[in-house]
Amino acid sequence: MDGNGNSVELREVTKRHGATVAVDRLSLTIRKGEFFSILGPSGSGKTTTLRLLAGFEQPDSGGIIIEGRHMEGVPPNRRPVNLVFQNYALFPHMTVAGNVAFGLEMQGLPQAEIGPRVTEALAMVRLAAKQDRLPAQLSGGEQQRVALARALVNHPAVLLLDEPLGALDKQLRLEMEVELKALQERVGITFVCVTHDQEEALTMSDRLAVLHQGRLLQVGTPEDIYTAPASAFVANFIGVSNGLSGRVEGIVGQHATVLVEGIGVIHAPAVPGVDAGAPVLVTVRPERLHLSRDQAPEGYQNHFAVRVAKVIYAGNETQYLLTLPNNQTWKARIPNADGAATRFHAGESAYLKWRTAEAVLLPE
Amino acid sequence: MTPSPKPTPSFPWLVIPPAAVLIVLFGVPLLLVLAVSFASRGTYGGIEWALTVTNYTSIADPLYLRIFWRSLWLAVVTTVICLAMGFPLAYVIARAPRRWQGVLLFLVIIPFWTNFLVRTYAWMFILRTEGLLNQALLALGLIHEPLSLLFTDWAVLIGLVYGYLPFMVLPLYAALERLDRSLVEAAWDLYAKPAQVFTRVVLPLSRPGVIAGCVLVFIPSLGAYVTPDLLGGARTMMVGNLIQHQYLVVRDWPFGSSLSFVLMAGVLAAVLYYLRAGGARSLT
Repeated sequence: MDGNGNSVELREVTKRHGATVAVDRLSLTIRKGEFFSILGPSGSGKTTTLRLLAGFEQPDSGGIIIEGRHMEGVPPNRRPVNLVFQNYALFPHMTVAGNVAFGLEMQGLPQAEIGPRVTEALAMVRLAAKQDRLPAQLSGGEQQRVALARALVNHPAVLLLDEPLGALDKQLRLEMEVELKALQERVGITFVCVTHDQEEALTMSDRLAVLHQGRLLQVGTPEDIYTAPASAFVANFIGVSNGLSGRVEGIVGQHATVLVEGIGVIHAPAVPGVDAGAPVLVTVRPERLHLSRDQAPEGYQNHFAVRVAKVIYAGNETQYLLTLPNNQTWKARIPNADGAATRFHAGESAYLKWRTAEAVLLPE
Repeated sequence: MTPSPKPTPSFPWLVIPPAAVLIVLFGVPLLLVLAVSFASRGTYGGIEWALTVTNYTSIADPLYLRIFWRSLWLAVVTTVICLAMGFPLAYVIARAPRRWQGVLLFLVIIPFWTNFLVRTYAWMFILRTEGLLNQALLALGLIHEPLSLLFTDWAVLIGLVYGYLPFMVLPLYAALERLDRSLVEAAWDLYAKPAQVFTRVVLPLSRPGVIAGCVLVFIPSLGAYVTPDLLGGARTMMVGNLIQHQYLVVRDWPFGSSLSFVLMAGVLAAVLYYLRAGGARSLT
């Protein structure tokens, strides 16, 4: 069944580095032609996972299957994967063309075939004009495109990317996010990308996995993970989220009421496994909040008075830091479409409102 | 007008002491030796200032050419063996955990704490017919009669390799330590077998270390004196011994001087050729 639609399978993979468990019983299935990201903070085991897939490290237990083949004991040079290194690892003594040709030469392809394929790969990353340069003569973005070409020229079954955009500046990173995703769709190769940048992962991935301390916390589409984080850690890591700690007061059908000290009763959608009396975290994303001078509920189930602590004008939206009645600080992002009249000023009182459906209840 | 960048402070007068030492203790004696090499030997070993080139033409004697040839051959083989042994050693040290690297380098340097002459005497003790090596081999039953090792070319070779191996290891370590580990992994990932990783990536990128190590081993090996004198005996003379012989035994200072200059010219030519051949390739 291995070959059917699955490109990479990890089964209960565990890897220890000395006393620490870098990867802890990790099971993942990555589909063919998918852009899959492994997201986690440093020390989460994401880089170790990538090195296990590349073959630089062997799991202590569990199995890795790539394109239907068990990878146990298979060295990196005999695996159908190629890695784009975080620092690109371009060979400094070879030209751009020499770097790209390296993998084909090592596979023993005839020169007559290597030439056209190198040309094609360099054209794909728009670097045909610089094929005789040395890596040191290229910019960071160009070096990264050489690293991509050097890997993709081999037509690997899986392309592994280690923090591919980490070394680029902000502007270039945004361009490369789009370009990388377009490239992946064009070549149709499975991309497995390791990153600590949630924005990057959400933008580029078809699906992503969130790792923490070697364990898998959640797998899903960016939308799944963004709108329905499975735990408080995922919610926090995926983006700035506002949270209120409380205790479930009661559950009626799909509706839970949560008692929060210093604020009162908050309404949120119920989640399976969370019963009355359980300690929970109610999270609401900053862009889901509504701010008003009118005390009336206006259809919002949750509403209470707050004080505006800080105002940050950010072009299309205004970001507010709000002080809640329990002295917690929340962040709200309100679109500027309504004009200056509806904007608030620091020190002003306002009413914070949101609908029940906008909140996510997470067990604590 | 933009202000010119602040000049880096330079202290030209700091050059004076070392320059003075070099001129007085190295430059002047060298010129004296050059002058003497064109003089003639006096009847009782003195120097007569009758200018001649016979000191140079007489080197063409097959007897002396053979000694030059043996020196060159021993120096080349020593360099090759040091490279073959030093590379894996330097690689292991450079790849060891950082806190171990200092300890391992310390172990490489530790022999320098003992006088080279004393260490060479120790090798005589190991290599002689009743020496430690023969006793060990006899005890193990690997040989039934003691081997005659001392006073052969082999003994000289062992002594030279032993003496100059650290000079190969240190520059190689410096080059390999700077080698980015991810380049090795990248080559491996790009289908290179371990041997190809070595020849295509590790070796080309450590070329400066290889060149420095080879020069540092080759030069002292070619002019070696103590090692062939003690381990090679009278039969395996190298250029260094021949020069010493001319100065102190034959008391022919002019001929000793011309031999010194031919050796120096030879070393210079060999090193320049090597640097040019190796250096040009390391740029591509």
